[in-house]
Formats: sequence, C-alpha cells, structure tokens
Amino acid sequence: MIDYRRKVLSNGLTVVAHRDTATRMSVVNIIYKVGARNENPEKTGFAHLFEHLMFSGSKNAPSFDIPIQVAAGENNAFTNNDYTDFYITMPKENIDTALWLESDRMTDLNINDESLDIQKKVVVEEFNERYINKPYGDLWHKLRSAAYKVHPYSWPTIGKTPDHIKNASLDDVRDFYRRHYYPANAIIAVAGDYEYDEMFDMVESRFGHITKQGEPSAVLPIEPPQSNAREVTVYGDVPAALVYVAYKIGGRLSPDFVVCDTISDLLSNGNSSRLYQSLVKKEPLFTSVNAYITGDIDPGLFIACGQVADGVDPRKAKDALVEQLKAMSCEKVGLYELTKVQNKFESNTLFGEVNIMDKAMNLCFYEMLGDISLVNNELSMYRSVTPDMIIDTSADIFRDENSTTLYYLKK
Amino acid sequence: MKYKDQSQQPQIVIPKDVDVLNFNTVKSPSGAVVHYVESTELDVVRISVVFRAGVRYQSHPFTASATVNMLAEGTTLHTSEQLSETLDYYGIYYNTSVDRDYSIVTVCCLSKFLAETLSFLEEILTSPTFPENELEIYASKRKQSLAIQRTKVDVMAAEAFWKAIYGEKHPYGYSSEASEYDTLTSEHLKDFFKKYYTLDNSFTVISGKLKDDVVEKVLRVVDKLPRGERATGTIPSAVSVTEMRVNKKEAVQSAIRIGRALFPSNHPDYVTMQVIATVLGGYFSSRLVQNLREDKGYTYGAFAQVNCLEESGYFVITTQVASEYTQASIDEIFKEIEIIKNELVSEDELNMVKSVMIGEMMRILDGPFGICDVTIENLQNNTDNRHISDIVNKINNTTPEMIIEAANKYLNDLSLVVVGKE
Repeated sequence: MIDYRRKVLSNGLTVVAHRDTATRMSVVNIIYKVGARNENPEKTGFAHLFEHLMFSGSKNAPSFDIPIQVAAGENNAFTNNDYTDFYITMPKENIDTALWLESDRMTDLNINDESLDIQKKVVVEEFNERYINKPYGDLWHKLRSAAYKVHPYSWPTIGKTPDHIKNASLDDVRDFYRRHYYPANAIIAVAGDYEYDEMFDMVESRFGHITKQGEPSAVLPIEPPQSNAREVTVYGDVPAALVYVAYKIGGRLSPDFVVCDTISDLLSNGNSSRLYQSLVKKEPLFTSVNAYITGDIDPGLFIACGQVADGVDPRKAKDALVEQLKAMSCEKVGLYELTKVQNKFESNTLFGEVNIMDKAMNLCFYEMLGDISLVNNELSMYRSVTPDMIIDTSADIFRDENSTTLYYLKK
Repeated sequence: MKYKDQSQQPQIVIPKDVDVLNFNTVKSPSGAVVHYVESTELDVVRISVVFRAGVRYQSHPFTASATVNMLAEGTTLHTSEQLSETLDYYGIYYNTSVDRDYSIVTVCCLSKFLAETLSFLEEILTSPTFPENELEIYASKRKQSLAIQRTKVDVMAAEAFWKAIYGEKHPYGYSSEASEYDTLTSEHLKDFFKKYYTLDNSFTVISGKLKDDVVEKVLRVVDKLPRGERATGTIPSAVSVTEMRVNKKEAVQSAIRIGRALFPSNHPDYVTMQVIATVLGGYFSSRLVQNLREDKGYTYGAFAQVNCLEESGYFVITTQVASEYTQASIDEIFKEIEIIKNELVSEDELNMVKSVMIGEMMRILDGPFGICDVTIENLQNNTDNRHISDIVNKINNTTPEMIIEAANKYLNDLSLVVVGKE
C-alpha cells in the first residue's frame, strides 16, 4: 500500500504527494502527457528529441544539471509512446532546488540552434548505438509498422529513421514546447519525509504562478480491427533466429488488461511457466521464450516471442508457440496455477515499491492513466481473475487473423 | 499563497556524511556465520550467500558460472521443474551472480513465505545434482546467448580490454570460446561445488524485516553447509599491451576502452582514483560527457570508472562513438587525461564531484536491499560498514593537488582498445 494525497492547482497542474518517513532522500517526478503517439508521422522521434532538449538550461538556471549535482542529487528522463517522464532525487533538504529547476524549464526553457544541433547528433548516436549497431536493433521498427496501419504506435519512440531527427528545425521545437509543456498537461509527484500540507505548499509556491496554456492533444486515429494474419520476414547478420507473434489487445484501462497480463504470466512468468517448460525444457525448440503485454494506454499488443534453437525450423517453432497460446482458450487453468501467478504478482509489486523513487513514479503513472487508486487496487483485480475469464479472453485474442508474425532470420 | 521568486536559486545544503547502519553478526557453535542489517519498512527478507567461488578458481571454462547457475536445476529431492514451481508459487525472487572472485546466491521473499524460501535455499546449497540433461539445455542456451553478446561492439571491447590490461591467460583477463560449453560435464560442476561451496568458504548477509527469529532460522540453514577450506590462489602479475584493435567491418559505431590495471580497494590511493574517474566521466557534467557528447555530439555516452577485484582493480574509460569520429574521440580522451595531469581541478568542480559521489552513496544505501549489497562488498574487503564513513571522509578531504599527483602516478601506460570498422 502506498499512502498518497492529490490536489489540482488552479492552473491545472495535478500534484500527488507521498510521505515516506524512512528515508533521507526526496523525489520529484514529472510526467508530461506527450509521447511518440502525439508526433506527426513525418516528424517522428520528436518527443524523445525534445526530452533531450529539456536539459539545455532555462532562464534562471542556465545549467540544469549543475545545481542538481552540487545538491548531491541525480536526475534523468525517459520517453515512451505515451508520455515523457522526468525525475530527480535529492537529499530531502534540497528538494526546493529540484522544484525550482522543473518550474523554470516548464516556462522558460533555453531553446537555440546550438543546443538543438548537438542534441540532434547525440540522439542520432543513440539511434546508432541502440537500434542499428546491435543485433535485432530494428526489430521493433519492423514489428510496429506491420502491426499498426493507422495508429501512431506504428513507430517506436526513437523515431522511424535518423533522418527525421536530423531534419528537426528550431520552429518545430518551439511549437512542440508551446503545445505540450504546460501545467494542465503535467502531473508532478513529490515524495519524502514531509507533512502532506508542506509538500502541496512547496509545489504551489514554485508552480502556482505559471499561467502557460498549450493545446489539447489531437485525437488519435483508432486502429481498425485486424482481419488478416500478417507476416514479416527480416534478414540480418544475427547469430540466431527470433520469432515474434503479436496480437492486438485492449488499452491499459480496458477490463481485459488484467486478464491479458495474467495470461502472459501463466505462459511465461518464471521457469515453471508453460512456455519455458514445454518449449525450452521438454521439447527444446527455443533457447528462450517470453510472453508479455506492451502496457500501452491505447489498444496495445500481446507479444509471444522466442529465440529459436540452432537447427530448428523457425516455422515449426512458431507453430508450437502458437499452439501453447491457443491451448489457453480450450483448457481451463487450474486454481493452483492461477494462485501461483497471483502470488508472484503480489511479490513483484511489493519488490517494485521498495524505493521512494519507484513509489513516486508509480503514483505519477496511475494518476496519468486517470485512476490513481489503481496503484493500490490492482492487486485485488489480479486476484479476482477467474479461469473462465482466461478462456474467454484467450479465445478472443489468439485468433490468427488478429496476429502479426515476425521472423528475424540469419542472412 | 506567496510564490517564490524564480530568479533566486534556492539555498543548497551539502551533505557531509552518510547514514549507514552497521551489521550485526551471529555465529553457531560449529562456526556458521550470519551477518544481518535490520530495516523495518517492508515485510520482506533478503538473504545472500557469498562463496569464494568466482571464475578465477575454475580449472575448466565456464565451470564457475555453470555451477552457481545450475544449483536450482535439480537436487536429490526435487527436479528442476519442481524447484521452479516452488520459486514461482511463493513469488520468491531468486538470483545468482558470478564475477572473477565470487559467486553469490540471493533469495528475496515476502516474510510470510520465509519457511518455504529457507527450505528451498537449504536444498539447493546442500544437495544439488547438476543433471546431465539439464546441463545440456543450459549449455546450448548459454552458447547461443554468448554468440549474440559477442556481436556487440561494447561486449567485444570489454573482453578485449581485460585481455589487454591483464594478459590473455591471466585469471582476471581471459575469456573462453563459446564452443568450450560442449566440453563442460556434470563432473566439472560437482567437483567445483564440493570444493568451494562450503561453510568455511562462504558468508551470509540478510536484510529486511527480521522479526520472529529470522536470523536464527537462517543460521540453522547455513549451519548445514559442509565444512571445507577457504579457497586460496595466487594472482600472477598483469602483463599489459598498449593497443588492441578488432575490426568489425559493418559497425556504424566504434567501442573504445582506455585504461589500466590498478590495485584493490584497500590501497591508500583508491578513493583519489575514484574522484579522478568521477571528474573525468562519472556523471553528466563530467569532462568526457561534456566534451564528447554535449560539445561534439560524437556519442550518446562516455564513462570513467575504477572497478575493484579482490586482488587488483582497474581504471577504465568507456564510450561508443560514431565510426567517423573514432580517432577524434581517442584524441579528445587523451587530451582530457593530459589536462587532469597538468591543471589543478577548480574548487567548484571538485566540490560538485564530492557532492555527486556522496549523493550516489546515499542513494545506494537507501532501502532494505542496497544496504545488503554494501555490506557484502565491505565484508569481501575484510571491513565493515563503518568503512563507509572513512570513504566519505577521504572524499571530502581530497584536494586538487592530490588529484594531480595521483593522475601523474597512475594515468600512464594506458592500454587502448578499439572495436569497430577499420
């Protein structure tokens, strides 16, 4: 259980606070509700590039990093398809420095050609390091573009191509900042050993004056239901073949979400799970297998994937994988097995809330989803999943026409 | 509500010390030892058993890692599948790790499942069978994942770097061909286990909520380990080479490593070298990050570190840069090394570095699991958690003159490793 309180300031900024009396550290975590899904298809990778530019300094804080480092703090950020998250940890005495910096860059960010040019280069190197100069680096580019025809989940956060990043202009950057970075499009979580009123006051004293207003994000196109099985084959200089099968599922708040996650845990959470025991141990078609859901806000993907063992036909491996998925809709899962994945969910949740940073980030995330109470209620939702729900949802999802298969093969 | 004036930077309080609990120790009459640090926030218990059974002690490739990784792949009482069921049913976090000196087995559980977790731990530490068929599956998986790892320039550079600074055959330098997995047998693992997984060659650390005799219960499990001898072995002196280049023709980035062998963490200059590494590449405003990333855009990241081994340690600068800037990046790195050897670090920069280092320690020590890792490290170095205060004092007392002196003493005879397109 994470104890929290929330408040919305008059400028629309949502503040979530958590008191943790066991630590000398404090955390400030801000989510801006903008991610790769809000990008123009011709200018992808922009949300992430902009995250880099948020470290360029601001009117009253020419360096963003130096005050944090002097204050013994640490900071970083990440962008995904749905949102952008910035976090700072500090010894608790210095939390106002973190709030001062975040407030300043929400309103008065330094944007200039020089910092844009450098960050474009840095992001292109990030593109190279993670997505090109690495085996299977472009796998998600291929899979997303095959699975989504209309929705902007068809490209990954880094962007479709380094060219989109190279072409970003200063005007694009200013426009993006104006439209997406404003109080009502943000959620701030603060955590540390302070009274709740004190936390709300310290945020308001730094952010309450901001009147900046942006634009509501454009309504995103809805991906139409898939009616044919899709298949992509990619050849690369890779040491082993990979198989990915992706099925469309509902969004993060849809009733099926928890059921899908449970199904993925039955299939692959831990070495006792079905896929590992049947496809790696009993009949070694794969050297590793996995099943998981992408967890996106809009309708996402259920992924089943594996690394094919040497000498095994990837198609044969894929068929065996799909057979395991389809079995979920035929045979009722026993209560022992269901309890097992629910127990595991409980301990993973607890282990994932050990540090003050994890707690602040989780609170911010659930508030962004629109239902912060889920931070403490999801466990009971997982506990209430029944064998019948698993059969129904599996039958609905694991249909061939709802699937996209990707083979990544040795050249 | 009165709003604060944004044009005024808030006052910063610079932390000068780090709170750290020391551990307590209990012993059984037969000599089993458990060290424990209590923290009360969450109903969880973490147990780590540390064996002096790292890669340096193996006489056949991959024996050390296979032994620790296969402890839960079959015991005299249960099959691999049954053991996996136990772990998953009770939501036990189970992890093994191996480095050149040590192998570590860690379990983490909800307090309510402690009994089940302890009986699992006892079983895998006293009666593993290392079945041949499980070894076969394990070996083929590892062989394939090693092949994938070794297509990455950073992994190739890391392996080449250890060879370059210690020597191809040195216990801290060598690596083995993936095909050696085919020669690994169950007997290798059994022999290694028998020799090194003993009470006298291990220690145990627990943290978390330690109510209801948790410590005594863990002690009773550790007490069942067989008696043996403390592992010994001599580490030969390092034989370094100045330059090692590996051509990877399709690479769009080159991985660069520059550094040298140093000393273990009890050396008087250890902390000063940590400060030097932090100045150069230990944080975002460090010189290499600013130069190679923020000023030139050659790379996504650059790092400098001092890593310690039981009987050595090394300084290393690591980066991955656009192929066309490989030589330019190497030149800039050596330029930064010359600067730190010849120009005094300013007070402002040094104070920032001190804050960064102390802040990092505060973060590591925050929470019930971090303290366990720190305790393990201190015990490996034959010291205790009060040692953290000594380190903090040494960091605070480091002067610009000490940095120049140590930089000139140690940042010489550096080895350069480049993996990329020639």
